[in-house]
Amino acid sequence: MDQTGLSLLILGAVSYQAIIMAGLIVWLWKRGIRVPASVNIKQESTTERKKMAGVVALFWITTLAIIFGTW
Amino acid sequence: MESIAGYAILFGFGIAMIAIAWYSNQKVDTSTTKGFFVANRRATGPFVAASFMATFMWGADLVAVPQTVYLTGISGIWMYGLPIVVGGFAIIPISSRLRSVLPDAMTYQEFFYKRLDEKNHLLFVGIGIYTMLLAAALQLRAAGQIIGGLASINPYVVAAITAGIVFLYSVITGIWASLSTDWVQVATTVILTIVFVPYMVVEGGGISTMYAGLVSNTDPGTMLSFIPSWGTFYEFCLPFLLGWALWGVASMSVWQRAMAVRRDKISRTFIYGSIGWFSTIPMYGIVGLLALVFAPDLGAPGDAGIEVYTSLLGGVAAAIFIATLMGLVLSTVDSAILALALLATKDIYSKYISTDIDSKGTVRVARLSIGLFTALALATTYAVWNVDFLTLIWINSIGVTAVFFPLLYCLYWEKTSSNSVFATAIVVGSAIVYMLYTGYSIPITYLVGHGIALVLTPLLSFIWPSEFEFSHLTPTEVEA
Repeated sequence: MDQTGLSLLILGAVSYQAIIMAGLIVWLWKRGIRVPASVNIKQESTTERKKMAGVVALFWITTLAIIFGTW
Repeated sequence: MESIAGYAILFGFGIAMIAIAWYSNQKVDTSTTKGFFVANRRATGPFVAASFMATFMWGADLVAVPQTVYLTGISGIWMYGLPIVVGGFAIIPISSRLRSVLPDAMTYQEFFYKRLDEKNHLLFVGIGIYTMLLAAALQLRAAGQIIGGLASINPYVVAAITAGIVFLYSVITGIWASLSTDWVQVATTVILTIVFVPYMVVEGGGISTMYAGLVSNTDPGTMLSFIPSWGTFYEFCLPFLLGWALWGVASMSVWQRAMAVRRDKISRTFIYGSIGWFSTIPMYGIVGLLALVFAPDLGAPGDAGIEVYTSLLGGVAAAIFIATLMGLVLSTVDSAILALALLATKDIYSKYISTDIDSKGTVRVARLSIGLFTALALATTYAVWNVDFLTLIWINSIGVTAVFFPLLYCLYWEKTSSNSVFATAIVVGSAIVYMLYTGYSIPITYLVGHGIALVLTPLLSFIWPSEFEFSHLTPTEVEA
């Protein structure tokens, strides 16, 4: 890894955490801390599961690409 | 730091946590067992995701990640972090399945009770108590030793004050206190990393100085590469991957969150929580790189993080460090104590001592249990005070290995029998204790443990199959 790589590592780490925290705060802002008793909670939908499987795949592809790819 | 300043931070943080717990008590229903322990299963995804992050973050990360990077280079970031992410993801299908087949369960031990028999139930209650008690003791000791050292306060007193704070706010609102304070604790940690880590890089002369220092003090081909040697991978990644990574599956505090979150958002919550937890690890890794630049010849690599925090953060370092560490420690200890109280209340008291106890009575027992287990956790902390820290982590993982595969088989395979699970757990536990005691390497020990659990449970179940049907797990209460 050269100096550009180190810069990208540090900037990437800071941005990654900033995005995660911002997302968490926005998500909490929208959803609150508890679901009202009037809302009927169902099982997790297939669409939700597929979407989340995509997120997991994206996480691993990106992470492994960083580990085995550029550097 | 003067001890009076240390006490001020400890008590200030404690009062803030108690105030948050008291405030949340005004907003939520904690009069029933379900409300007190699993938030009526109506906690939202982001609320639980942050709490899960806080539960997985612990005091050791502040020191252990810089230490790992100091010894291995940047590959230490993923070797330390990714195994835990695997564990976080693993909880998703398992908890979803359990909540689907037994919607009214509050612990996985309850599943063993209904799926298998009393002896398995008691065995896994015992494993749960062992795992969580030791986890709480590990954190209390870390708080005692690190904060005590920085603030010149007797470490035993720091551990006792920390335990007292956890007791006070947990007893007020149960799971809601834990979830609410976890948010503050995540925020404290993120402030340390997102604000002060870049500050330390700038204070150290910027990225160019840092890079020049790394090139001159280390072998850049090894230390600035994400690909470790096999030996490094074996020593630093495999023990986490095989033992500690699956802690999430055996950890009662993770399960409590899996039971509390709305069931249609389990995947989203734990994916976000796991990835969110991982986001802190590269930040601590940068601290390890800074240590390689400014303190390349440390006799004790474990001091790498402390060295950087104290030399680059100046006078405020100790205060920030103590506040962050308090957040990390409290979030894990409160989860462990609550999980223990849940086990004592639901899995012991209301199953074996007083089966007709009403919900309000159960909450009273729960509050008493919180007091009892806080005292027990503190006593355990003092009892293991002189045992090597890393050894404690490994022996804590024994329970994880005994639980993981038997639980999977029970959840998905109807022929899994109670005798096979019981025998497997005993054999695995004994084998691991023996191998750790006789000095086998950690990866081999856990590989053998998982191997036995993987093979022995189905083998014995083929010999003595169960006639169980999942439809027998009829819910005893209607899920909202």
